[in-house]
Amino acid sequence: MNDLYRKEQQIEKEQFQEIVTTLTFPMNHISPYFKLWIGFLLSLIGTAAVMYVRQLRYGLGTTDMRDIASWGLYFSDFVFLIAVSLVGSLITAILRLSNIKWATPLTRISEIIAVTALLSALAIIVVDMGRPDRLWHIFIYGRLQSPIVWDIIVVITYLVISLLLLYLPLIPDIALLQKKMGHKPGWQQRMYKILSLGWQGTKDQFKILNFSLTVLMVLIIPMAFSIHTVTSWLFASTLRPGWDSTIFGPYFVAGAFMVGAASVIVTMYFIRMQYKFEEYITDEHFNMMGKLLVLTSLVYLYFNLNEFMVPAYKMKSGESANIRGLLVGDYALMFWLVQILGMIVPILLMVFKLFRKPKPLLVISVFIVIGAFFKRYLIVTPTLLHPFLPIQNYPASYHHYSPTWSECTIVIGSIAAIALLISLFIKLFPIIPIWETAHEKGISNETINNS
Amino acid sequence: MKQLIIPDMGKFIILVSIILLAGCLNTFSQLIAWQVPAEMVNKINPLSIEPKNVAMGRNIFSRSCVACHGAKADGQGLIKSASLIAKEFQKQADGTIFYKITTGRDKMPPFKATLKDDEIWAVINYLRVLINPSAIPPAKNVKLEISTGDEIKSVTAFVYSADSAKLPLQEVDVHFYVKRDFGLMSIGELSNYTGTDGKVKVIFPDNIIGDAEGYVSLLVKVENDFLYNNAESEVIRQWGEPMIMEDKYFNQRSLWGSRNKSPVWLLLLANGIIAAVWGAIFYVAYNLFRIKKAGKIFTK
Amino acid sequence: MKNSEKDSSRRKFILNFGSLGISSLLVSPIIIQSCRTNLKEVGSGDKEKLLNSNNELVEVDSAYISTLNKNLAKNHNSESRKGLPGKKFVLVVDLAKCKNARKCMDKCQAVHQLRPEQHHLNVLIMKDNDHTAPYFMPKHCQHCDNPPCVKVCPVDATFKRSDGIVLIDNERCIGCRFCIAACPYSARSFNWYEPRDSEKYKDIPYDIEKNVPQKKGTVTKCTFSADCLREGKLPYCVSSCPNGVYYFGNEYEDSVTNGTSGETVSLKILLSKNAGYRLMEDLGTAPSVYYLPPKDRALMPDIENSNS
Repeated sequence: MNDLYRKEQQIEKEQFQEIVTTLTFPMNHISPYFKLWIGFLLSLIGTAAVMYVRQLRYGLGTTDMRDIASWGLYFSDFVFLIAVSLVGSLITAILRLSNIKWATPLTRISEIIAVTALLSALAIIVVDMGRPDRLWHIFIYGRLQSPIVWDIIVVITYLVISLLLLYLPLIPDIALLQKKMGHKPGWQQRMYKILSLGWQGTKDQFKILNFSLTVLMVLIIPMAFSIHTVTSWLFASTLRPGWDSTIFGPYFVAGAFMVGAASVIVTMYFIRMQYKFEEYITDEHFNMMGKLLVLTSLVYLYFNLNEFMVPAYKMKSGESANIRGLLVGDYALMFWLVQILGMIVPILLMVFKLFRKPKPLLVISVFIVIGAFFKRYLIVTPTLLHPFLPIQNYPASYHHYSPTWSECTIVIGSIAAIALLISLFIKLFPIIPIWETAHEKGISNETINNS
Repeated sequence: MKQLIIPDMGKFIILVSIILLAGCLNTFSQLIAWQVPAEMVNKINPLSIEPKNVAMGRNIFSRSCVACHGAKADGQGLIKSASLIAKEFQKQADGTIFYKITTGRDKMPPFKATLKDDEIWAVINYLRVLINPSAIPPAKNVKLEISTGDEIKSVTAFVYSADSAKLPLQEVDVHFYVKRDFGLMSIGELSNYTGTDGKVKVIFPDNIIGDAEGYVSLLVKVENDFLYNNAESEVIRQWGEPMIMEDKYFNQRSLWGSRNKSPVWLLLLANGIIAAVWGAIFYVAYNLFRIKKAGKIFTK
Repeated sequence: MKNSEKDSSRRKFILNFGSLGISSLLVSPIIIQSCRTNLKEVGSGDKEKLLNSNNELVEVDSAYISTLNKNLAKNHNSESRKGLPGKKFVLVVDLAKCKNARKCMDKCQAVHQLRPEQHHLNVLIMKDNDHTAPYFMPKHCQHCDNPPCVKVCPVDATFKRSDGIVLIDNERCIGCRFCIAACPYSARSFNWYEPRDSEKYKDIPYDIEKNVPQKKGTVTKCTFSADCLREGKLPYCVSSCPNGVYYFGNEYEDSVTNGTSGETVSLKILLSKNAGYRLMEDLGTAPSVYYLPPKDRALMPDIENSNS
């Protein structure tokens, strides 16, 4: 009897070893392509930094924003990044709390996207400020009546919760890494030691960990809803046509879930491909994420119909100029491309299983993410270019907005920063949770702790 | 048939001269005579130059013409305009000037609708006097006394000569004003002439707002009268309606108030949510310490 | 065991070093302050004769006398946030008289250090629909009683005073431009570059009520010339109009004065006689600027040949 038990133990141990070896593969191999990739990202971020220094010197006039179009690409990027960051709560919290197990390998991917997107969003909003040297004014002189103050409070709160949600499930994995990463440089080993909090895998520790995770997951769902609702109130609290809408909150949240799911698909495809994680991120995962994407896209389509058909029906003065501009005027090309290629066609295609295979789904998700960025731009700038009173006594360029190279490089830099942070994270921590995956496969805590 | 051959040089000269001519015409268009119909030129000014109507003319001029033509009528107003004391202008007949004022041209608005004929003739008389001040005899000094009646709120002005004789003066134009924040609001008529007793009375109108207790400052003036030098007198009475400063909207808590005036419901809601959420966050952070402690107990 | 010893020693070190660092941070300002006062207590030996408030002639060591900086700002920040007592300012624009002379715009841009494309005051050619005739409309900041711009400012940089004026403190503004997005009257402007002639205005102390010198990266708008109002004078635009378009006054006193002729009339009577109205009343912003309709307008705009 003992022999059989020991044999079972041995098999479990070997299984666990395999999981560990595969999932720590990215941390142990740095290919030359990776170095090229990091170099490329650093060059993009470097260019962005140079452009920002130039902007600090000359003022925000280096952008194409002027008195009429006073918010442009930076603000669109901010809204887009806040939208992407909602995915953390979707995958980690909502799916996990509903005991949906297939999402387990994707939780850390979505959390790291969420955290890095939030950090980049905070950076880009500071770039959009006219006086970034006075950032501290918000904390000392802040007015609780202002939607911007609400946004800052909610974003920081959500960031802290997301960091905790990233860190807590990481603790058992770090404890494991402590034992396995003896060949890594000293600073890295010390980092693992400090962050592992002396994790032993005891029942008590697991109890505390699981309860804390539950608290965070329950907390993050309303926080995620409020972060994008409050961001939408930056527009809905004004009187402008196109923004003066009562459903902006749910409209933005629905869009956020859609673009978040799409960005997870894009990221998981590249991670799977690069590190050969086919066993952990299976075709079935793509299938399920595809179904999730269809669901969220349908909800977003519903809100889009409400947002555009209702004002178009009435053609109220003020609203009419903006709607006309979007549907048939200056912005019609971008609008219809975004709606059709970025939402409607993806929905139609993803209904079929064929298009929920990894490669087609990747292409569709890329279209959705790019479409989402331009959708945010269509929300921000056309409204500003259709004010209530006529635009007179300004230079001709004030009647339209075409972003300068300076703005574009800084926005590209913000995306590159996210890619950089995620790439570095993959090299330092397992991107697919080891202990949770082992738990799913039925490996006991004893084996994990004693390996 | 011989064709008229204009050499290229010739064409060029013709073109240049046309352009120059057009330029000259454009420049001189400002100086092109303003055509006045003959019957209007010969219209006669019914008012002879007398202090009373010259004074009226001066009043009207300061209200309606100074902005463009300047206080000295020399064309140096808030915008540049014609000088009304220049020889070329003064050479015109009264009728011509009358026509120009009533009809207007370009930047000069027509005054046909805003001024009565008599008033326009008075302004013309004033313009004549401006270059010929000897037409009017030197002004005398006067004294002005105010008395007020309280059953019916009224102000009476008594004008008399400033010398020892203290003669009451009649037909003196007196102006009555209430002092306001940025100017003087006139009460009574535009011109209030003293009677044979040297007095003229004006009733104080209702609905004039005073300060917080209803005090108003009344100013009575003899001004712009050619026969008499300026004189004024002031009196304060509690005849106005007390000023109601409805600034309760400012002192209340509101969404547009400053940071210490935010609405109570917002304070409770926002701080409540922040406290609850961050309480949970701190609890989780505390749990991190508990995890560490639990691990230590195990190793010991 | 070795590890835990190392740990505890490391922990002790961090604790000691940390507490030393923090305490030095706390103590150093006190030390520096005390050094400063010590310098002052040493008299210079020279004495000066001064007259005190009891009309006595006293001798004071010149070390204790500091020359007053004559370059003080006219109004301190906190004083400018309080409104002038007993006033609620109101502007009346007679659209019938406007002839697009733009003297108001010129004066305003000159006084407030504005570039030609920055407007505190913009004279627009309005054409309400296809069938009504066009007219000129000077558009200021409306100094709303329910101001959408003040509501959204995150740092209390723009504020409403008790006398109705909405001002901007450009030493507080962070340049987020939320107020520009919130204003439905497009009344606000931003300093996208270094302000015009910023070198010339370098040494002038900042005056909130005039909003001069302008600062790069902040928002600017019409102030109802609050600096003039504090001295009892009419705003710059009101007194520079040659055509009698503007009336300005105090709503509490029910009086407005015409900037061109100086004539003062009752606000209520002026508005009721001429059917005065406010711009975009249905938005609920409650402006402080009233307009008199362009009946018998002095000049019809030439829309085809205008360059706007």
